[in-house]
Amino acid sequence: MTWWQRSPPASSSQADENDDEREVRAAFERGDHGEVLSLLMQAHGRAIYRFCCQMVGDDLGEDAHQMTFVQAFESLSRFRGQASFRTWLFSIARHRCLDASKSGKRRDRRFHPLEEGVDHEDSTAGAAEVMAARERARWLEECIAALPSEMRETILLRFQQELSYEEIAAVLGERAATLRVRVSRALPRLRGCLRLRGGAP
Amino acid sequence: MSRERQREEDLGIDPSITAESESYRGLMDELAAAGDDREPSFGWQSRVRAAIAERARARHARRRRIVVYFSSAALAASILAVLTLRSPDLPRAASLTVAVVAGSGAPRRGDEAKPGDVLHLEAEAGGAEHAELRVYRGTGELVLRCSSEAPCKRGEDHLEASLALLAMGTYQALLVTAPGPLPEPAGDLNRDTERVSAAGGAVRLAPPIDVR
Repeated sequence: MTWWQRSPPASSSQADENDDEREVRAAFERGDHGEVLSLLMQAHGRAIYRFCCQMVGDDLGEDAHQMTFVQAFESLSRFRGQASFRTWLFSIARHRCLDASKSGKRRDRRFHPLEEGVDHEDSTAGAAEVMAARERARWLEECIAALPSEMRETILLRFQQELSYEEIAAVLGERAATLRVRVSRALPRLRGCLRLRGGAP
Repeated sequence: MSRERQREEDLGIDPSITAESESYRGLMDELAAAGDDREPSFGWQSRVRAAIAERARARHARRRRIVVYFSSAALAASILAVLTLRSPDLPRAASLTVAVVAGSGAPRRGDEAKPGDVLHLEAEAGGAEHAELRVYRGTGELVLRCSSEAPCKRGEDHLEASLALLAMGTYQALLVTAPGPLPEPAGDLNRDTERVSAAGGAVRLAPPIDVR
């Protein structure tokens, strides 16, 4: 299996997301902000973490991730329900990431070492395949990191978080048509970057 | 929208992407998986709650500091305003103190003195524009009268003078103050003080000193 033929990773279903959203809304309507925070962290903690780390690197991303939930809790009284909690959270996360990257700290992206997690019980050929896959994944992360910030956030929200263009427009405060154009420019750029590293056909 | 429908939408976003849809579909799947193994560190939810509690405490303390600061500032401003507003109505009190120093330089106690002793007078005019120190021997002899000239020394509101008590008798020291010019004394203690009062002035009397 080559890098572009891997099966897509499992993601939470639309129904699960709707359940999460309903549960959060119910707690919000009860005025139970503590419960809202718990539910938001449980439902979206991992996705926000991934987004933040890929936006600003692991070190800054961890801070931005936690500050996203701190700020979300502190802003709950101002939440008007015009967007979903998920979209609202990504909007906060995006601002915290922008703050983190403006904080003057040099972006320090740490990638998982190639050796980490390699299953040494695999056959030699299997281990080589795992290592090659990890290397391709690392190249892809480097290429994502090399994108301009506005392209990177659009790509991550679209392909990792699977938001619709309308939802991304709400998060970024831009028009959906603009975002489509941005994606159409980002994808060839990413592919070109991978080809330079020998990771794409 | 399902992932597959999203893929179709994205593959149709631009003709150059549509033309190489198989390659781009792989890229999109790879993008979806990138960084998927990242997990927030252990205990992150507790850290978020701790940070929220800490920030709430800090906000509360900041609010309390602001309240204390503004309350103190308001109190200080009120006191200052009261003092400023009240000062024209309540002039600083005028005062007069006297002391007798023996010829040897030793202070005397009580109201008795000996010829040759020196009477020291110190007074505060209480903000009055016109003020004089006067000393009468008996009721009919003005032996000292001065304001800013010798033998008086005058500061802004302070007056002081010294008088050698050469003759025996009862000496009465007084401070005369008035908002306007003081009436010219005639040398009679009773009449002079009446005229000062009639002119809107005030008289402060020191205890009389008997020189024997």
